[in-house]
Amino acid sequence: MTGLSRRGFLGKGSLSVAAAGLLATAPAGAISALLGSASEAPAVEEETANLADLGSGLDGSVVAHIRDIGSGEISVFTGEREVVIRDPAIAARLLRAVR
Amino acid sequence: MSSHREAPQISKDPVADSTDLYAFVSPDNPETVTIIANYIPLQPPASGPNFYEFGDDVLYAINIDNNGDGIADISYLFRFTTEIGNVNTFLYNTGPIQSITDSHFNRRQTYSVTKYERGLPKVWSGIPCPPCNIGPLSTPNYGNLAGAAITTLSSGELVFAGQRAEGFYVDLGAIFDLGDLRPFEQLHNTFGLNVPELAKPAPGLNATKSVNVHTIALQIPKTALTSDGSNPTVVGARSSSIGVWTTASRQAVRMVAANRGAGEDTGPWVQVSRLANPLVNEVLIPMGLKDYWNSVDPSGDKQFAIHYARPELGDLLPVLYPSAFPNLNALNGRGTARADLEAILLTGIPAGIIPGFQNYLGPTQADTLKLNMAVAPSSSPNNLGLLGGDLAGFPNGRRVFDDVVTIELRAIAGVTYALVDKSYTPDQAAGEVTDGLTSSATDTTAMGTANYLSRFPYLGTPYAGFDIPSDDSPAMASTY
Repeated sequence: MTGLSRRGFLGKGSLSVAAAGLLATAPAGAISALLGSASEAPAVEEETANLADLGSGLDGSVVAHIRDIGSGEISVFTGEREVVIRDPAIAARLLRAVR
Repeated sequence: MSSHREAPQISKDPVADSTDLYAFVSPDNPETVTIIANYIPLQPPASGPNFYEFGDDVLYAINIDNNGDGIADISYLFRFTTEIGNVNTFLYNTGPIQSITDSHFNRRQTYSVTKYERGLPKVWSGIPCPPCNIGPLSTPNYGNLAGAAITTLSSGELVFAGQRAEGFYVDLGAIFDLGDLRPFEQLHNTFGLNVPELAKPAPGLNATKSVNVHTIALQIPKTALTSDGSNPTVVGARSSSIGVWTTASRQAVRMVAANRGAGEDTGPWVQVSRLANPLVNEVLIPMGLKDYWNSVDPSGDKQFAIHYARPELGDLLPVLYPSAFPNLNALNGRGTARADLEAILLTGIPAGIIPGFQNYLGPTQADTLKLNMAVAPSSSPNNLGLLGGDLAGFPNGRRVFDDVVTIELRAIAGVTYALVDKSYTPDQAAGEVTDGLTSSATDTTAMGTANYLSRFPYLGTPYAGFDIPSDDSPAMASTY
């Protein structure tokens, strides 16, 4: 388990998720399928798109949690989803911001 | 308590803390099964200005396994929404609440039910909760308010969500004072302390009397619960039994922002509470595993099986009562796995153990409340359930009045081990041990509980804040 010193949180307001709540987004099957789900995302390239465009249609906060500094593994939480990315560059930038 | 504040983390999160789960063939409608999941423990009736309510930020669920793999085949999910009519008053109600739609009902909750079966969701929303029972001026005719909150879903289920009187009873103070059961305290070893008031037997004291809980109740046609849609009529058929449990989940991330007065949640749902058989996480699961146990699905319960098969309480009883349990002490000394407890609490009881009965769901060790739906309701119920020869009671499901503390104490003390090992003779004390809150096996009112109802939702009218009962009197008479 990573220690507190290896964790980081970044809250970023005013982005939004398609408010597809639990009821609309839940996969078929039992409740266990709804819990603790995390999807993998490919490493993110340097983003040059307009942030306002990216935020369009989102509702609520986006939270990034650096799970492992060594691998750059970051969990990104939004709505009722968790997306895991591995990007040491982004992790490094976030960590520099809190130094 | 059954599962009230049973684990360190969830004890600090009462809105998500499951307290009791009941599942039984409805005595007044035996073609249906009633499932009741209680949350928010130990509510004092006088709780203004902020009366108790379900968590808008909690996902509550009632789950049914009908093929024995410990995985839900049917789930009912409940999400609540709080609405405030007038934010410029401190009042929960601005006048008497005469009906469930009364504009004086200033802070009200509605909820959605989502039923998942075979991958298909069905959603019902906007279902009203009744107010809490405040008192004769604020909530006159409380039974009418509660009754108006009973809703029939289009698929045939009855549903109710709201405050009820606590139906569970336990002498918590005695049990957690080093197992000092009052009816047997003269036999306690007292750790060498000289405590004159423990020199003679005394009746139990109900630690959960005169408090309320929040109830989610469903009444479901039996044919909607079996794996093949059949009506369960054959006790010996595997398909007649189901396993039931309840869970509560919170989103993975909570942010508490300065100067906003409220938090914000995001991320996937994470299970923080679960409950099936009473008292399991309370007294069988060790401290270091309790919150982890809460987070696990029943299908993963094999990892905890040792705590069911060798319960710490079973080892403690002969120590606390040195003269009372010699046979249990010898059984413990042999290191024997308690196959009886594993069957009762994890797999269901196979055929051939109790004549004419089984509620076996299969070999998967999963802590679910097993109910054989083909067993008809008893016309003369015995609060000791199977131990009292009443096949319609715990651990064949659980009824609201079942004396589960006594049943489990006696089972752990060795009474049920004789069912799986005919050569074992239970200690006499094992058949008598109790925390002393029922007057007899036919006592289905139980000391300190409000009268149960004979129909849905079966738990009694919640105690009213104005009354603040100081004795064992039931709440004001009501049909709901």
